[in-house]
Amino acid sequence: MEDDTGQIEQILIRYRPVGPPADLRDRVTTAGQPRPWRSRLAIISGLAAAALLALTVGLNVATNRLLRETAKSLGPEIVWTEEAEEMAKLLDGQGQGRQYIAFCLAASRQSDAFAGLPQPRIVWEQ
Amino acid sequence: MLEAAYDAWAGELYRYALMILADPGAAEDAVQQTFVKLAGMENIVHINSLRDYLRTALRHQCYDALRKQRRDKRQVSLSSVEPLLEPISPEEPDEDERQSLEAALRTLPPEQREIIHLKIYEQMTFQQIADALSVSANTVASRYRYAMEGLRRRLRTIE
Repeated sequence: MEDDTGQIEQILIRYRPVGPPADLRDRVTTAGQPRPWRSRLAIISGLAAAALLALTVGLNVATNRLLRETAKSLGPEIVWTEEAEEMAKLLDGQGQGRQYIAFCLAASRQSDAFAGLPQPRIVWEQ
Repeated sequence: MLEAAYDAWAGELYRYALMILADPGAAEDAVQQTFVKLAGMENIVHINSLRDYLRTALRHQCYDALRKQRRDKRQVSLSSVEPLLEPISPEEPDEDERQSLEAALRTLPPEQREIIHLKIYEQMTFQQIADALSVSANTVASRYRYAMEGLRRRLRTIE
């Protein structure tokens, strides 16, 4: 067994693994250098991300302003009266009843705001 | 820096990869990937031994490539029929012997080819190999024994 191993080792040491091909050096050094298109791509990506962020912030500000102005144009907030509280209690006294009454109050206020306008004609389909 | 590192260590790294992978094309890819990763590192100065770092990185690259080959069930590439070995003294080339030895080496598992490379061609001791690969010296010795047995059996069959 030892002799066999010795023989195989003798064969192995007559050879060595072949070296790298000559063109590998150029490929490695070229691939390892920073590429200008990569940095350009990074700049473009950064600018796109900044623009997207600015757009998001702008839209958020605009939406908030629109909500505030709409609320202002609809007049004062709903006034929760004792009558409203009693009606809510008559329904279920819970959240859903209160919500329904609040909705009715808001609708009534809106109908007051549109009182001067011509009413839409309702046509029932047969 | 990259050029200097390549000139200093690419030869030994390529031979190491070639013996693990038994495929010149795959060995080239592994060496290239290793140096590209080195070029992309920012803290190269903190590496104590660049040679050891490159060898470890290359080894991981080789075994990753082997796992990928197995996963993709990739067939033997054309470059794997290119020679793995060259005679030390080109005056008396024995082409039949070289081809038989290569064929026998290709039948061994990569882990055994790696041990042969480190023991025979880099002349490391079992303990040095064990330290480098983070395995026990006994494991290294048995892999080497299995490798020699495998080569012996295969070469007898060829004869």
